[in-house]
Amino acid sequence: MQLNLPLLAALALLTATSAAHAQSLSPMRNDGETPSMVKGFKLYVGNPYKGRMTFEVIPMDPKFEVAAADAAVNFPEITLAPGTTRQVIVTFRIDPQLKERTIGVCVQPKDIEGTVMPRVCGTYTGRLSRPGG
Amino acid sequence: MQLGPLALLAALAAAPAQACTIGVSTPGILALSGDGHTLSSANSGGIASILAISDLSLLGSTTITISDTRLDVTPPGFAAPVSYGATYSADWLLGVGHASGSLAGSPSFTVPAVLNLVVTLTLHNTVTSATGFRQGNYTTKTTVTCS
Repeated sequence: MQLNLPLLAALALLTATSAAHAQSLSPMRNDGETPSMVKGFKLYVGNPYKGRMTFEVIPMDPKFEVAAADAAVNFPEITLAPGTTRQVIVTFRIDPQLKERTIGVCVQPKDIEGTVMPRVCGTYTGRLSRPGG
Repeated sequence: MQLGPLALLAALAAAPAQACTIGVSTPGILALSGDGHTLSSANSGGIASILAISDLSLLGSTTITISDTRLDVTPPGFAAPVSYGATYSADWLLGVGHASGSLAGSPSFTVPAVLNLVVTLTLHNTVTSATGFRQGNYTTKTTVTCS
């Protein structure tokens, strides 16, 4: 039994180290109610790269194909030191007749060179709270 | 006997909860077809792009999507209409998990929540022009999305 403990400690250390270098958007899914017609979510964006990088934070449709209307991010571009994380807030309007709306949010490096554009995207659902609910 | 749940909790607490790292192992090379109408890494002399995707969520499965293949760099003045294609194959857990598809069909696949999972993605990009390509440098870019 005791033989497993150093192994587990090593495992935990390894995963903690990889987290510090992961391109991250956390949480990647969330939902919640709002008493107004605007719902906001607090998200955290991290820099996986070895140097300082600027990221674009883009509200999208839930399939991540086109930019979402009536949605905004307080920092649409953020520059992060390597291994650091910063909070952003995304807000979007909910049509009172539909009572619910899901948007996507994508984080991608700005002006990245190379053959691949890496994105991490999440989906967020806001619902109008019922009167008296 | 209690070490099992404890180990799982310790690993989950330390692991990247909602993350994704996409690294390019091989950028790939496009080659011109014999008839001059297709630039593709699948042509003779071309090399596929190889990506390693890691640090995936442990809280649920992750969907990886290939999309929006486009020309990123072209010679000055090149404006011929082109069409794009891409095919991929992906392996994880030493080939226990496998997926393949194309931009036109099955551009997404889902990988399970497994500790320290690494997905190897092999990607072939293709650009077709009915009028051919003028001499110069061409590069493609493809969007790879973790969600």
